[in-house]
Amino acid sequence: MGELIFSFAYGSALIVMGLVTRFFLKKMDTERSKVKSVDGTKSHVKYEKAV
Amino acid sequence: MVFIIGIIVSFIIYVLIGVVLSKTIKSSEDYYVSGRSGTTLMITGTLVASFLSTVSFMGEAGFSYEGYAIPLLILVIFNASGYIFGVFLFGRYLRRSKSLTVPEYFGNRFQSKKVRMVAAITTVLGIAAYLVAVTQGASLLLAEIFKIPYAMALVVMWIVYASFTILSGAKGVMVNDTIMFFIFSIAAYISFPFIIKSTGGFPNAIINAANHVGKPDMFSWHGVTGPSAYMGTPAETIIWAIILGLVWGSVVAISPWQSSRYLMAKNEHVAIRSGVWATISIFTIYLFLHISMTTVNNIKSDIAPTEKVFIWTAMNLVPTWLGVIIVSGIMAAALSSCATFLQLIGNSVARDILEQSRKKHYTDKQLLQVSRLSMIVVSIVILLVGLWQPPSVMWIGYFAATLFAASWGPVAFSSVYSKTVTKEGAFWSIIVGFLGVLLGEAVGLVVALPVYLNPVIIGVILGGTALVIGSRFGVITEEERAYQAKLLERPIEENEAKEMSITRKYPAYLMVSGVVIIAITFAFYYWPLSLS
Repeated sequence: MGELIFSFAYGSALIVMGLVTRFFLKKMDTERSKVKSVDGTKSHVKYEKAV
Repeated sequence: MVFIIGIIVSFIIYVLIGVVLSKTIKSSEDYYVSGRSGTTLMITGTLVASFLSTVSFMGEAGFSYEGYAIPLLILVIFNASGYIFGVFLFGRYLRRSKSLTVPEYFGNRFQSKKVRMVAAITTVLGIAAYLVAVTQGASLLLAEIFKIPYAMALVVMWIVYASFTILSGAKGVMVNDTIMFFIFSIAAYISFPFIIKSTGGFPNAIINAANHVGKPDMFSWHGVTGPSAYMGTPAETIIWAIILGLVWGSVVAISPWQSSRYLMAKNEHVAIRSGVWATISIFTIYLFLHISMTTVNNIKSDIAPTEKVFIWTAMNLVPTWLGVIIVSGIMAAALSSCATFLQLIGNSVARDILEQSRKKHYTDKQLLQVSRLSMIVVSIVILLVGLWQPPSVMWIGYFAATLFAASWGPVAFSSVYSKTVTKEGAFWSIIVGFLGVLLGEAVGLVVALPVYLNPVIIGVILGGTALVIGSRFGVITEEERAYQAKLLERPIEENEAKEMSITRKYPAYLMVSGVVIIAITFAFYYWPLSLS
């Protein structure tokens, strides 16, 4: 019985990860309207402050 | 002889790539994070290559050969899932920070030099121990294949990985890691049918291994139950696999040698896609490798030490051309980890420790020089420790790798999401988590700890507690809040719509891979077992 469960569980974990990824991507989509670009920062210098 | 030629040719290629790419290094950003130009293929390659080492192709292969393939694959379920959670919950924010090192990110996030310093010191101590262990493992293998003294093999290994890493920094490491990723992936995938054929053909190879007299129940869900079983009861074995899987999942998500790879990604979509491909790669490489290693028992069940099972297979069970790829692949897995480790230690010494402790700001050119110099000194120290310390210290590798889950785990995730964690909490959490693992290891030497009280679990509990208590002290400055708010702003790429439309396909890639793996596991594992 454990062997049968394993033979399905191993691949099913990837299916679950697919669902998790889809969840995060949907969340990114909803965030999209609220954000502005921070890309184009070519160097780390911009983020350097006292530290 | 042909194995030696194969390894030498691959070594020469890696060094030549380092020499050629060194001429393209123009700035510290090129040297530290490859100019943030990494494509999905390259980031996937360097993620997987940095993760897999001799521990995977020797230590874990031996573990499967002893009969624990299925518990190990259960561990992988939790372990490899760390790529998905890691990139979404930490990696992509780390990339947004545009830091050159992970300790630099912690320092900037908490606006604290001491947080940065303690993160850098744990990086140097933890990874240096891991680097020594992996270098020694690979040198033992090289010494055996080349029939040369161990010390000479250690020097050869050092020359190869140190040369291309010092010369070309992240650029060379990323390109070489990608090549090495292909070599050991081919070794794992293509060797599967050849090994199954040599060990009895399909489905007899699986059936015979499952009914092996000396190692009964070798293909059962909990591993061997015969006289050679040493992992405890079936329940204990599975609890061990789940706990260690979760620990390694955290390591994959936040450890410096994994999360730092996202700093090289061209954009956030590349980071996410790489996390997905790395997950699929680890799932498939482990499945093929460990099922086939178990069947080797059908031909020879007394290989000692068991860590040599894949090498023995390469030299005895598969065609010579494939054997050369396998042996070169094992060396590649070791070299790629060594190169990444050296790069991280050298970078942290130069940028996070030397520059910060001297309270001076290096120019870009100075930083480049100091980084190379740091790497040379660090690599020599590692070589000397490797020569002085007796080999076969794989436990140091396991210890060093997993301690980051305790030391960095609570701080990494809370640095992104928590609005109440202070620099005091972060500082003490890193220290207490680190010391908690040491304490757990020390207690484990005196008293046998139950499986659920793994030293890393002790470290995580203590580190998490220190984070909560420490955050009651100190105040969160406006700069910290502003930095965190900036991290949480999602960057919009120039061609965002196109990039997003590509990334949106990735959940489907994972699900289709899952269905294919279920079919493979059922056909090559459960169905033959049901016939026995």
